[in-house]
Amino acid sequence: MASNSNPLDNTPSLRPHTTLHSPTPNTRAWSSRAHPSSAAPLLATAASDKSVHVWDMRDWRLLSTISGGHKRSVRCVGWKDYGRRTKRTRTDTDAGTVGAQEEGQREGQQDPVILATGSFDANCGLWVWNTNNSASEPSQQQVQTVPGSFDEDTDTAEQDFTHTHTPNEADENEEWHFSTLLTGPDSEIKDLQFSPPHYGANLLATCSRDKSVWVWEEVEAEEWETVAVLGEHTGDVKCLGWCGGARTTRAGLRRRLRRRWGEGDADADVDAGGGDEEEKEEEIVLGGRELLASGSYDDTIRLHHDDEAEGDWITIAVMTGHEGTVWDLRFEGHVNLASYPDGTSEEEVIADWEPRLVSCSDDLTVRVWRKELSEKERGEKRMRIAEAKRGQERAGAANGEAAPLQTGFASSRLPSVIRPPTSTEKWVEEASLPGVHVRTIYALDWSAKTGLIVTCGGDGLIAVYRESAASASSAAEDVVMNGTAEHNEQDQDAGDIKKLKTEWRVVAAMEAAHDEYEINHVCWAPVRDQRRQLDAGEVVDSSDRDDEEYIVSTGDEGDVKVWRLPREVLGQIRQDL
Amino acid sequence: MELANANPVVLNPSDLPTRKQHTISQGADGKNASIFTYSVPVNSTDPFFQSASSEASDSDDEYEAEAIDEQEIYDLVATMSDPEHPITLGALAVVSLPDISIRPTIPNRPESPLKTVTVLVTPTIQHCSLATVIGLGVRVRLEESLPARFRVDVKIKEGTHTTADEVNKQLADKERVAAALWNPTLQSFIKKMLETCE
Repeated sequence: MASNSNPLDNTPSLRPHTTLHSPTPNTRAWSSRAHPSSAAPLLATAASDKSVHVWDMRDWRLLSTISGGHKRSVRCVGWKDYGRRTKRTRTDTDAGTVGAQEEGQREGQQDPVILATGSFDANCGLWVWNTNNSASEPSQQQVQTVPGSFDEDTDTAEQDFTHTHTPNEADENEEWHFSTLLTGPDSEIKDLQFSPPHYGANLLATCSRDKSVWVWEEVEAEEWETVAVLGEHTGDVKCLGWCGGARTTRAGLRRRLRRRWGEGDADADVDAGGGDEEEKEEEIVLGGRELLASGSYDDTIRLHHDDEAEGDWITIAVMTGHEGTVWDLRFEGHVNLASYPDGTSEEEVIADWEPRLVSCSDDLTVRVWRKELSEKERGEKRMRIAEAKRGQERAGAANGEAAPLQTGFASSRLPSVIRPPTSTEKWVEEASLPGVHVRTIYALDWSAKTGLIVTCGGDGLIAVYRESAASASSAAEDVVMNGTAEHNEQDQDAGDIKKLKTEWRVVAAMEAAHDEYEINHVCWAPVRDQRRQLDAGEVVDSSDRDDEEYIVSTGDEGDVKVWRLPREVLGQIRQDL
Repeated sequence: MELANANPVVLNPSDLPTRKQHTISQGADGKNASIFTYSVPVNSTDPFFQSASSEASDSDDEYEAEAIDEQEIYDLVATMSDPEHPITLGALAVVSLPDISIRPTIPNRPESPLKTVTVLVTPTIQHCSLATVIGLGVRVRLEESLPARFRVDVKIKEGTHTTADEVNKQLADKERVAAALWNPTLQSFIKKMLETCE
């Protein structure tokens, strides 16, 4: 990097979409999360005024404020994800949008909207959205605020939700009714996350300054039990992440592989037919397994899972590269095809792909980690890939050009399921993202939709990174990786994929994104705007909108800001979708 | 409670550097941070060689055109008192003017209004158990008094404390600092430290 020129000088800026002003200005907001389903277009913000602000993502109005429960700052929020996929055709228009919502609502009808809140008061609360009260059109909704006492000295004025607020007393007029209180950790709750929808159990993980990670299981509706207390960290546990894997379809992977290798003339056909095909086809989950990562003030990242042999949750990996507090981490949820060489089939990708992990730290670095396979695992993977290749060839001979789906073992034995990991794993640092932050990096998110990573920090910067094939010079030294660092060329056989080198670049940035304030949190969020509103500002073509995700940032001044990617970046990523 | 240091060395207050007539303290709530915004002209490009006398105060526009320098930072924290003794941090030489610096937060963005204030704290004795509390008090005092464009780093001066790294890590952790302020015991400690500030 040149000495005085700023690496961000030629980086396109994010486009501001809207700013959500805190109802209690100049009060720090800690983090925000969007509900994953279009049936519940909600964004929740955890604030140090002891409350949670919930925004309607269709028109960005403040829908409700949940207060009166927690006695100290609310640090984190999480939404229970039921994993319903709203089916959208790739050519959808206004009508398509409405259709998508109806689909979501019909499918999700039985699913209550559940919000978890974690606070410095050491408690975690679960809240259920009262849809009877809230299902009306946004234009008719009343902004209903549950007032709470903000006076620290008058404890009596506060509702103590351990006593006065049992689930049975739920007020019909309340937008949010308090469901469950999870108590146990000794000090501040710093992060929490519900498990991904395809796990065998409904789990919730919380972590605390008391150095522990707690795993809770919903054994019956709204009844939670502690299933594990993991106490191996030697400092506050700052962040958590479940390994949800990547949700995709074979047809989707095939279409993207073709596009990646420039079979451009096929694009139109693939797109037109692709939508239907992808609609019909069953979703597969690659690399998803019951695995929990935690990052800590002790500078390490630990991976934990429920070990069958042990009959208990154990720590199976420790990553020690960071030289400062690990503030946030996330597992990969998007299959990036940039490292796969020309001619790779979707079955080979399915056999090969495993999620990586990204983390950010007080040491000002953002690091990508990957699992290093053991000899045994490498052998198994090679067999799977070889078999995928053979299946491909057989079908190619029989079927001409079209790629088969039902051949070989791929459809029966492949890992759309959760595979039990071996008892210990070795994770190694694969890459360090370009260093653009000059103060602590507080949060990051890895988009499951686009594979882009976004970070924010105390320097007020939001940066967006993209992984793509390395430039010609460095790509000359292609590497055989197949999940291992010291792989010998002679080991190559039918089961090896000769992976290409990739590199991470900053593709978009926003300096002073919250003016002079620090940015505590950043995440990706789906676009739920009512169409007319989005169009009022600018003309947006429907495909643009369909592929898009917002960046949502939360700052020390209490504001939540919603950002769009620069146009040129949207263009770049469209080919990866 | 047993004192960690029963006989601290105390400096004569008249020997201490000061320019207290125009502190920029905005009251303990710190809510007036918007007084200093991006548009405030920063009339000092090199804060390290600014002489105190060049900044004669004009009480009419003390909120406007005035850059914040090390002396101001010193005046904000030197008047705080030790939680154990009714003596100020300045008199105890826990804070001293040469151990305060102000630098641009983003080195290759000189036009950015963000500035990082670094205060090195010298505990009265090497194993002073109150080092963390004193550091926390200094950080809180500055965060509440300075505009939001200032980042505050409070560290133990190298070689002056046995567990300096541990204390530094805690003082640098925004979340722990924020959580500590909900703790009634720590709150009362800090309140006591601030009693001697005007």
